[in-house]
Amino acid sequence: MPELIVENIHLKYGTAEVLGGASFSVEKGKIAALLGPSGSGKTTLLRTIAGLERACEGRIRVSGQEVLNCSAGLDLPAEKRGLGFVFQSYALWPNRTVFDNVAYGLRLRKVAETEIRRKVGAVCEVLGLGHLQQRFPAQLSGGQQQRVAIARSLAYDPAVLLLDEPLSNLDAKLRDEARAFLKELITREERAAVIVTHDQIEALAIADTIILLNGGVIAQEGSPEDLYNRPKTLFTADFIGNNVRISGKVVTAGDGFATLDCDGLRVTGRMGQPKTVGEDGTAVCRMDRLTLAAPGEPDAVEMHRATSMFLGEKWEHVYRLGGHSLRVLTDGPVAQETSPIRIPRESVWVF
Amino acid sequence: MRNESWRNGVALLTALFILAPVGLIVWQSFLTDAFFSPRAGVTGATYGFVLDDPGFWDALRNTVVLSVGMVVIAVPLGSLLAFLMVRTDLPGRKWIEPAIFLPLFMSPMVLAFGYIVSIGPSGFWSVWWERLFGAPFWNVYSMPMLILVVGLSHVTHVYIYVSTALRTVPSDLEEAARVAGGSPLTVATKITLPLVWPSIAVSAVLVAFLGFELFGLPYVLGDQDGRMVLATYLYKFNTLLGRPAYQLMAVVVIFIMLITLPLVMLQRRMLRTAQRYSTIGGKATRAHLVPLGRWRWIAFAAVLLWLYAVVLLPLSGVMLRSVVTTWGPLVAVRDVLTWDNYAKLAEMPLIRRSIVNTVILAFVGGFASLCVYALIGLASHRSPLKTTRGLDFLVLLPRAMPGIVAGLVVFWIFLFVPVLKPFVASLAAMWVAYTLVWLPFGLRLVSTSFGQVGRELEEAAHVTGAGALRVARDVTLPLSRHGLMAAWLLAFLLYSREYSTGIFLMGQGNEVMGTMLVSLWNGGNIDVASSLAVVNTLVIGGGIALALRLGVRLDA
Repeated sequence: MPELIVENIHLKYGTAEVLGGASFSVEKGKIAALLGPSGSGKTTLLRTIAGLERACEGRIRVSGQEVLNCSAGLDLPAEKRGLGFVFQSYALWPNRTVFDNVAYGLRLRKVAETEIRRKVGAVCEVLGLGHLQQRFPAQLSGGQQQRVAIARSLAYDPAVLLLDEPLSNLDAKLRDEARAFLKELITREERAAVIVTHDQIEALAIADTIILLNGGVIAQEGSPEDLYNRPKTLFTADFIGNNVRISGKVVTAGDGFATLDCDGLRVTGRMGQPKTVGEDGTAVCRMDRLTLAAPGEPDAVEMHRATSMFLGEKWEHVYRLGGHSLRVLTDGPVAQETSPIRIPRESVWVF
Repeated sequence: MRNESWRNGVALLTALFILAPVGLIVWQSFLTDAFFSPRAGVTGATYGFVLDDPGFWDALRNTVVLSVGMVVIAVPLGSLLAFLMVRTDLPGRKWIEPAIFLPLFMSPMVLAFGYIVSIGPSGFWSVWWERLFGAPFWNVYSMPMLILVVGLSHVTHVYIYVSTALRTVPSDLEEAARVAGGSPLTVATKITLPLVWPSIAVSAVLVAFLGFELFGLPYVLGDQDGRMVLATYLYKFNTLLGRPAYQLMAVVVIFIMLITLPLVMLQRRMLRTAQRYSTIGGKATRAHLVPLGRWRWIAFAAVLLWLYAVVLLPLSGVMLRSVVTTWGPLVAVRDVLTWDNYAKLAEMPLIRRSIVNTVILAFVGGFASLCVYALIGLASHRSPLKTTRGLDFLVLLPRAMPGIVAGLVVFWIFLFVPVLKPFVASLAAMWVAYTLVWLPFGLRLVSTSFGQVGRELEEAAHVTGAGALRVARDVTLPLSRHGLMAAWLLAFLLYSREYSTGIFLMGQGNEVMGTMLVSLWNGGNIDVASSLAVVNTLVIGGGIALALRLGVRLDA
């Protein structure tokens, strides 16, 4: 049985519906990522699970125990849910040392002082904070503060760990390290974790399941590979990956693939939904899969090179045809004014 | 289930604390006699009696004239002072700034005494003036003088609002106008003034409202000619008919609040608009000061003259009067110098007690009030409940209550409730009245402090397993302790200064300095009154010095 089960959560601010029936579950040792654009309700959903926002409909179970059941009038306050929560701002109490911050949950649970010392010591050791226990939060770096926040939420052994954009306040280099560290830690400590992020790379990298939210409802849920390779909606296809969107008319359809004619630019891709000839359609192409085509390769379109830029590792070229432009990466400079561009059909979805 | 009943409980108690006095006033106003009298019947005739009394109309007219006069004097001067302090290179701004706040904390009774012993018919300055230039041209007991005094002593109130607004106006707006060819004066009137206009309007309404609250200055300076304002008219009913005419007093209170309540509501509405206005410029740029040129020293002299008129002149009077045995046209100061008046303070048990009581009430009582405000503040802090949000509106009622009225109704409540009756003339009753009067102000201070504690810091404690009270104890209170300390200090200052609230509550044993000053004035005991006024000012001055030392903002 999953450690965390969230069912059909509805939440309103006044009359505006923020969450319109979100459901998902997380197993022990797994990480679910709530991903979505800003305003999609991902943080609100996380806060609802923690009990910091009040849902008007839905059920939540933590370790088999019901903490929210709106139809039965059950709504445990945050302090009775026994969850761990890592805030985006880390929310470390500035008037307490690292030790006291981490020990707070144990003190509230009336754990004996020697046991507190042992547990806090162990958690701090795991997070590499052993030597910093007597420091105040203001004396720590951003990365250290983040680890204190995680230590604080782990110290009292919650089964479920909720993290609200835990990596967004770190600089780019630290973020990559922290991501790997976090994934390893949660798997090893066997918690069920829910992580909120707006960064799809982060979600793809860290999560076992991605829950993609759009406008307060779940657009698609699945493994990172699922979402990346088998998007079910235009929103999912477009949100995941670095894409270009092209609109046109369907000229051929069948066998799971459809071809769009976009003012002369022909694109073939997998049909995300059934399409018929003559219909309007939108193609979502993964930008990083575009290449210069070798002669005779399929899915190639002859395009005109508008400009080239040297990016260090790669060259980026802008190719135009009619009103459409595509950006293509190559390893070296390109001399030709026009080239065939390959838009591989496996990396295109038509909706 | 979530337990938020404690919030409702606190809100309910607060509502009771506010509404019970108001209810009692309304009820009393429809009775033929005091509410505790067995002969009291229901009637509406009392309203007619008051409305038929020419004295009431006189008092109302005087109050309106006073109030309008205050606005006319205080608003332009206060705005000008704010402009000089914030936007120009006026010399000595650093040390003028704290001095500007002094009038806020000067007891009006001390001020009133000060003017009488300084520029009264045989005051020090009047006598000196007469020796040099002949008979003085002023009469301290005249209406224009009263208007001038109250107007000048409320310049600070306007200054606070307008200077705050001026600081949010980005100076690049002014610079843009200067670059476009505007002279400093044009820029000030065409660019800066329109931007702070809403704040000036708010302060005008505030000053008008304060005009209806005035008691000490009109009582001392206007009473001799029988010129009354509403508050002194109310006070007269206590003794006028041989015994207190409670029903008449209740009606007068209702009339006062019918005027002050709309003013308070108007001010609240305008303040919200003004705040919306002032958030335009978010960028904190270094303000470029307007050079005053040769006006620099003229402006400087004008500011000093104002400070002299509202602080130094009255203070020097009471200080001098407190160290002489007598004073008059033919007396030389060195012949009459004495410390006897201070010795008398210590000798008279009543006075000694009033000093001790004031310090206890201001220090311990101030802290106790702060605890009450903090509890109410915590109940409404980030509260989702409608009940606690209703409090925000309810506190307008005590806001609209002049101190003398609040003292009166608390006095009535203590008479009315049997278990409280033995305490009617105790310091406890005094404390309740003070707490009621300063409830809106105190609540605003603590709410601001609590609001500055990051929301996530509290939520972190919640999810870690702390209930509402635990979060308050472990996170909210410790992190807002500087703001709370400042609020305690301000309560100390205001409670030490307070005089009108205790007038009706004063009895054997609970005298405080402020009320003692009023009764010493009634008894004509100027020597002792002056020395007590100096002690009162010293206590407040000590508080102000501590506040400045600790960096507490006096314009909160």
